[in-house]
Amino acid sequence: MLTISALIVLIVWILVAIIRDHPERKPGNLAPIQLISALGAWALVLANASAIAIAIRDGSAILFCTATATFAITLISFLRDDAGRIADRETPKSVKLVVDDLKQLLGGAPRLGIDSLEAVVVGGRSPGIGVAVAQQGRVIVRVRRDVAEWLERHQQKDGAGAAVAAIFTRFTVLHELAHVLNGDHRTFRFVRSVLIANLVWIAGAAAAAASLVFASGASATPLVVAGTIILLLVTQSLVARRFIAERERLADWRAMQTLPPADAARLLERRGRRRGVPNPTELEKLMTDLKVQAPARDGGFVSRLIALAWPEGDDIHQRSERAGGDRAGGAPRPVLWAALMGMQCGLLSMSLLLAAMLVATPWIDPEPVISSLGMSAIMTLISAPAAIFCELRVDPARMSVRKVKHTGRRVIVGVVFYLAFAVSALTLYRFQVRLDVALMPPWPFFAVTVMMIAVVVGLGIWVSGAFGIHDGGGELQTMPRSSWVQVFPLLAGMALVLVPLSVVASQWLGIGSFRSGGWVPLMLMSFVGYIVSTGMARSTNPALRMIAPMAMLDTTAPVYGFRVFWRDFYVDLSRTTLARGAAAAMAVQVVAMPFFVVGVALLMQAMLGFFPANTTLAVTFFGAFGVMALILVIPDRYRAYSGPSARLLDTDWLRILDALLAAARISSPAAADRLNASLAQWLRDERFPDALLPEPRAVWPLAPLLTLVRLARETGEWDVLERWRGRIEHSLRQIISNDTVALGPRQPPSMHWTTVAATIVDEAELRGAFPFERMLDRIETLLDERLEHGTANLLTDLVAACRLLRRHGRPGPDPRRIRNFVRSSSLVSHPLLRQSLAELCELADLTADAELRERLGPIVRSRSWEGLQLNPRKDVLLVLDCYLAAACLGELDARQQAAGVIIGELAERVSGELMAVVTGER
Amino acid sequence: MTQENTIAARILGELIPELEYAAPVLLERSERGDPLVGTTSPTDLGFETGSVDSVLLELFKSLVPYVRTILGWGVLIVIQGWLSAGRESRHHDELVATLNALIDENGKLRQTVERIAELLTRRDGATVTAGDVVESIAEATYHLGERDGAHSCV
Repeated sequence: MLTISALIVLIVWILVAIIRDHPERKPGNLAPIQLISALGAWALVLANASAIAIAIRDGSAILFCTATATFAITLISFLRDDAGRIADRETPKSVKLVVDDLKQLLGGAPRLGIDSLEAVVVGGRSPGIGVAVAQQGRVIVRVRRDVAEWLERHQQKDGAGAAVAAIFTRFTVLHELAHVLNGDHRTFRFVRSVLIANLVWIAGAAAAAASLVFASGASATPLVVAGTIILLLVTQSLVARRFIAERERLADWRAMQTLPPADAARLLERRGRRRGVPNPTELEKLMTDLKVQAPARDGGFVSRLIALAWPEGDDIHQRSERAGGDRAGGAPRPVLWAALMGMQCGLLSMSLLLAAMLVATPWIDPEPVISSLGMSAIMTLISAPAAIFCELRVDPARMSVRKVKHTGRRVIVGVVFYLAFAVSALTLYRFQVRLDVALMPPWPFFAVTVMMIAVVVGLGIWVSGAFGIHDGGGELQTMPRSSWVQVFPLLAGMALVLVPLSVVASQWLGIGSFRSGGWVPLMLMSFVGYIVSTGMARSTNPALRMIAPMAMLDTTAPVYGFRVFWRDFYVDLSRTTLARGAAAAMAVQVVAMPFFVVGVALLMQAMLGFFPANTTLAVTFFGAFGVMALILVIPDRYRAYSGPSARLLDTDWLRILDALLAAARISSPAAADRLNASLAQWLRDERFPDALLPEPRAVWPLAPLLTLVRLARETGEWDVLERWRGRIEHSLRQIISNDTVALGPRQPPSMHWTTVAATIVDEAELRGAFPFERMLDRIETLLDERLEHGTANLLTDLVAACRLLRRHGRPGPDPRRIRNFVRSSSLVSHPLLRQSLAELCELADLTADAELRERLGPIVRSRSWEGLQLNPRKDVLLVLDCYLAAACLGELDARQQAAGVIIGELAERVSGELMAVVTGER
Repeated sequence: MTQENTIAARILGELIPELEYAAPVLLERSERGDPLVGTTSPTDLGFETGSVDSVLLELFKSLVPYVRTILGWGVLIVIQGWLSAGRESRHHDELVATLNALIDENGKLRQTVERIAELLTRRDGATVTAGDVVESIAEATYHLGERDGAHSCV
């Protein structure tokens, strides 16, 4: 039972990890091709393990020696440190300058995984310019002695010149650091080691062929095994070519992205005799020159073989042209990835199955059912996460305000993945059965299992569409550690309560043991019941809301609501510690999940009185999908967000538009004017702001409503604001009582939501309609309480309250109290990636905290660099926030120029797309 | 590197802009009969620059004898003369005119320059004239003259 639970938890964990990985933030094509290459390498490792098992079984010395040698070479090659000896020579000045600059940039930001950076000159046969990652984030930039001399030569007048040589050095160092940030160096080393080691099989095949010719009665099995592995090696080598090229391409892109625009332009300058045909860039010339510095030895047969198995990626010309042209980091190619991923998963599944069967057969006599179950488990474990990963990567390369939910493409990706998987699995299966290398599951079992994978892939299409696909833009969290209350207790509840309890209940009902899987329909129906109950509790229909017994209510940070036996209660993380909040959420799951399991178990018991066990299980299993479909018909307020225009009323989208306008006004006023005009058109939608009007049971729309009101003010749409006022006032009256906002009856007022509501009243010019001064009084009192007894789980409410009070001439609490309170927060000492830095800078300004301002400087600089290194055209909010934070600190220097250019580009594109959305709808 | 080789490398670098900086090393290897670029397999965390277009290297190899030929037929002397003249008296147009006059006088030299132009046309996919080649030689000489140690080289 524990094993099954662990297996399910493992699958759920992998799926959640993949979905939460937010692939839309990742640039280019490296991650998929990296995964594809790694899967292939693992298939080769397993094939070698199978070869050893066959060698032991058949007593084949050739197979044993070859496979063992392959493992040994893989290990040595993987663990070997190719760092050269540190030379006495002084580090070139240009490298020193880059490293010192980066050190300054990274100061105080160990989050990047780079704690220290130093540069050394090395001798020996190490790479020309490279980095070594020592333990604990110590990164060493290594420059080979001759390359150091080469760099100095280029600083002379007969070279590229001191300026270009310095820029090129910066580019190479940034390129190498990009590999560290991509995390591709480990995969690269692993896959390379495996592929090169497997070249031994060429010798193995020759030896096997010779033994067949010269030794009478020799078995053909070694030759067959060697041939299979060589075939696998050739396939993986072809896949590896793409990996090598993509890896360099993405590192080039990241390096170019972080260079100041003037430096990038200098490196991409074209100069030469050609007319009418493009001349090469300075980058291409330098890369070519660097390349030819390596000794041109003809390495002989082995070197050629290695170069064949693990070749250079793209040629220098392609690479340098792409470095200049790939503004978005390379367009994703989801269908190709799906085909490759499907193929690799098929190969890996069958290799793993073969290895397992070979190892198991001498000890146990596997029945077809057991071996088929093993096959199903292996195939599902491998293909489910891989299929979802492929289906998630259909997102476009750039942020788009147009709707980009590519259902059709997801389906195509799923189908291609499945077909590639089925074909490669079938090929290996037929091969293994024909050659009788191991006892494999019978054909009908194999066919059924492969068909079952189609269901898994189909579910993946749905899951990826429902939870994973985003149009980009990114997010910043009000409560950076909200997963402690929202996600972790739910997952823990499923692992520790739902699965074990379902197994116990199924045994009690007599519908099968955990091995027979009778508990799966019970668990599925229980979970679906919980989901539907939650949907009902969030519904706009009062009757449905009343029926729901248990639920996670429609709340967002910092106050989370739960329903337990029709009684709502709330956890306010601005008053409660994270540990207490998590414990309360966990307690809810511990009560809610058994409620549904017991309910479903009783229902199944009643059904067993009428139907046999199998029918009951089938009805429950398929019934769960039917119940799940109820979600589609339960009325909720999210339907108001449908349509190309209204979908942008989402909190994150509004935040992006607001920040983009503010940042573009600094970096590119002309683009900001165009964005302003497009936003003004968009805001004139007659249906606005109905979807964002808060209600007593859902106050969270206050946050996006405030941003919408702010946008109307900033774009000068006073007529629009005038039109909205009546509706906003009416909705605010429903939630403001006693001059504050509370999330439910008998609940204490929430400072966060009260401040947001008061700010809306202020910015929508509704001060006359509400007792505004009294609201400010209450906010002052709540702020005082918050500083006295509250937690430092979030700072947004503090900033908003201080800002509002100051705007109305109220000094608020003593700034020293706020400073002391804020300094106790880890959000200040170690800001998280998805946390607003602009907010912290504003807080430092509001409290005149010079120390905090000083501390934020390097954090903002390093975060900006990180933002540019990630996907600045897609994970936009992060870049915008850093840019606005830098502006707040008065640090819009040369380092921020690259971000400024990107923001200008983004503003131009968003204004064009927004105008198209508006004109398309009208 | 000898004076002639330096000039030849500079001209080759001018004719094939991709190899502007790499030409001296490539010329040295070509003279020795070594392979121009070795067979390599990329290692991790090294700034690996990718492969050099083999067609480009072939073009380089095929241009070397032609460049040597034109240098041998008086162009080298003209370039050396221009480089050793006082900085003030160097005029780019004058150099082009001298080279053109030399080419007009010598039919074989003209043929060689035209052959270079033909090879470049084939590679570029756009017409390269003999005049363009002369311009490139003059440009290469001009850049050599700009160098700080130009006089010591001559």
